[in-house]
Amino acid sequence: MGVPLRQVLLVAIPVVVVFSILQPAFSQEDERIIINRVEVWGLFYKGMVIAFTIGAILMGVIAFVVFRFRESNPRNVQRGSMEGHR
Amino acid sequence: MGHATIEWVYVGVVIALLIYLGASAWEVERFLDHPPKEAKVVKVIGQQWFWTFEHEDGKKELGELHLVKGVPYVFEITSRDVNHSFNIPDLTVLMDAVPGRINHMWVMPDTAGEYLIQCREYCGFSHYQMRAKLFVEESIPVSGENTAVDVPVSLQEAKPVIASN
Amino acid sequence: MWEILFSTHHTDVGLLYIVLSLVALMIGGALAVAIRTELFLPGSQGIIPDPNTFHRIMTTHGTNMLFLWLLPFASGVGNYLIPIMIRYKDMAWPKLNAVAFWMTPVGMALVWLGMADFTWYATPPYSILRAPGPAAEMWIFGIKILGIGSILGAINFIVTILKMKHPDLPLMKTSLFVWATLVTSIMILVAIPTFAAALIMLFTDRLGVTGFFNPSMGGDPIAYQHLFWFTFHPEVYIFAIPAIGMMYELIPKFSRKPIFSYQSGVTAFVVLAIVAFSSWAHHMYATGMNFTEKTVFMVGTLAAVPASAMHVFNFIATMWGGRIKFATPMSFVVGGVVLFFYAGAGGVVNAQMPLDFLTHDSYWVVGHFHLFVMGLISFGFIGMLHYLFPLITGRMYSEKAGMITFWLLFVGVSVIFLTQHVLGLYGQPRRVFDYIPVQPLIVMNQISTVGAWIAAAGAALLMGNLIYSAGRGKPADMNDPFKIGEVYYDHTRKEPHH
Repeated sequence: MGVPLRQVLLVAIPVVVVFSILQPAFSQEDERIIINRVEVWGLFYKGMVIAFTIGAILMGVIAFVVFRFRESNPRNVQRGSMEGHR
Repeated sequence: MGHATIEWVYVGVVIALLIYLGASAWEVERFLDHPPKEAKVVKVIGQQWFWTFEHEDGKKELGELHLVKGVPYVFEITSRDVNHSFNIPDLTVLMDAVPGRINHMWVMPDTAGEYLIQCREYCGFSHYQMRAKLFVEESIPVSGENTAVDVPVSLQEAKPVIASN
Repeated sequence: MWEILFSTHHTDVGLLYIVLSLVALMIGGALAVAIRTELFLPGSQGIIPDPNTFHRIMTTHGTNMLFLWLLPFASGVGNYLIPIMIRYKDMAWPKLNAVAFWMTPVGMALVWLGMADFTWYATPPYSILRAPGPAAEMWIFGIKILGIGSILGAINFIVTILKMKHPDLPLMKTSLFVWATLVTSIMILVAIPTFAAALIMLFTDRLGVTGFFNPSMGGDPIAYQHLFWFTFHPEVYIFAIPAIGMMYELIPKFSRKPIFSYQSGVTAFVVLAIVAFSSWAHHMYATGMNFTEKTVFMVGTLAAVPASAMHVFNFIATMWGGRIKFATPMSFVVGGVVLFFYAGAGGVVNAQMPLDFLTHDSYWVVGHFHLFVMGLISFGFIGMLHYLFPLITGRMYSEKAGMITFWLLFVGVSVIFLTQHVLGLYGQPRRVFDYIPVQPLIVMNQISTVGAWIAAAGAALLMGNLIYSAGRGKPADMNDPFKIGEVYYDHTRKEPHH
């Protein structure tokens, strides 16, 4: 603990993202062409792209963990060093 | 015990994505929440289990709503008895009809055709059948003094409205 | 039998809670299968004769599953494990514990015999002006009694954990399930009284002596929704946090590894518990809230996501590098984590104000919250149920049947509720007796119904396996029934009945 790197990262990543988003929001002040349907579905598709990307990564990680670290995996026959020490 | 750097990075990424999504949503909602000034008012009244509509010129409709393509409309939505929810799925219009309150929602139909209007809030026995029809028409019907809409050019091109913020 | 019924011992009361909740799961599930079968085709199938019956069934299904399956099961497991985990002989107040339990069947009888028809929201003005007869009053009093029962139980848990804990055992060394129960109990104390007040107001409004929510008497129906969601949005976390605590209990054991980060588990629990109270009105975007209110509640809602994500990270990091035995409990936990992500992703969509026009009060929402309650929460609960089975009965369930149960439920739940998300995007409203006979709706409803039948087969197998094994199963090795080389709970607990 006490390593500033973690806290710096935790703060820095959101700050960078916030500013990159707010910049166009500030500059674009007044008038814009809109059709609700298009705007709403556009936002929905944006969310879906992110959700499916994250989902693919997460499901991939879970599938890997389940496959690699299952008890019956031949690479996993030895007892781990931390077993039974809880 | 303890934390790892990777956990902080992970949480940071999650927060960043949420801020990005939240800001995009805020950005869109900012426009959807403010109807254009030239929008025409349509009163929408829900009751068990049908919809009635009243246009600006006093024309009333029951179970059917006729709108003109390319014209922005503000719905003033209320209810006579219990809660309903005024919903046009194809135009992403959704707003609760609550007795004693007037809720606002605006839309500009951009394609002519026949659409479904339904109730989306549970309202009793025939909730599932509480539907109406929306007709979006290409041209202005000849009835009465609909002179407020004098933008035929924009109608033909389906030119979107300018919404001032 | 009578010995258990009149006992105040924590294992007996825990067993009663668990049995009652499983009964509720089965009869509530039967209603759900009836609903889905009715919706297999457009038009009336005759399974449910008329809309009125449909609405009564739908209301009873919702009320039953939330208050008679999820809450009592969490209390039951808490009763079993909390005294063992904090090393005390029983709950702090055993008699109060039994009283809290015995309120549950009373509430259950009122809810089931009445079968109200105003959905589990009981939203006015419908619930005060149009909802029929004694059913509504019975629902109000049933929920009232269940609420009092869970408040009594929560007080008992808090006192047991904080005051009866073994002096040599610091709170930061207890199991994360203890933390989950503690946090949940505190949340119950904060959340429930609001709705308890709203129920009284609802009742007097129904009598006509007041008009809190009656617009024709100057009341405001929206006020009820605020009171309702101030209780029942946190309630979602009250259901979910015990399930997450159970996952924290099971994952390290079956991975044969310590928890990756105990601290972040505790942190995420506490953060979730606090943030849960900042997001209630995201259920009400469409009631005519102004832009600022909507923004505040969107931010409050999204704020719950990092803490949930920390739990998922913790689960995966704990499994990483372990030697995982995929017995039935562990399979249910991993399945629950997968479904948790689907539900969470859907939740982020719902939280965004403009997307509410797509999803609100549609089948999307039905799919979304069922992925939580039947995915994350019930999967955690059923996994824990299998893990506790040897402790409760002294016998082992059939592992093969357990794994088949898991796959049936996992496939069933995924098919039902992921399909319902798409149905919602096509615009099918929730709580409908019938839908428009157009193509994407028909085929989607049919897929969803087939999923319901698969899940029903899984639930039937679950009950069959448990009931058969309780009587005829192989005697379990009580020191390590799952052969994972980890410590099991102290089974000598159940010996002294009193």
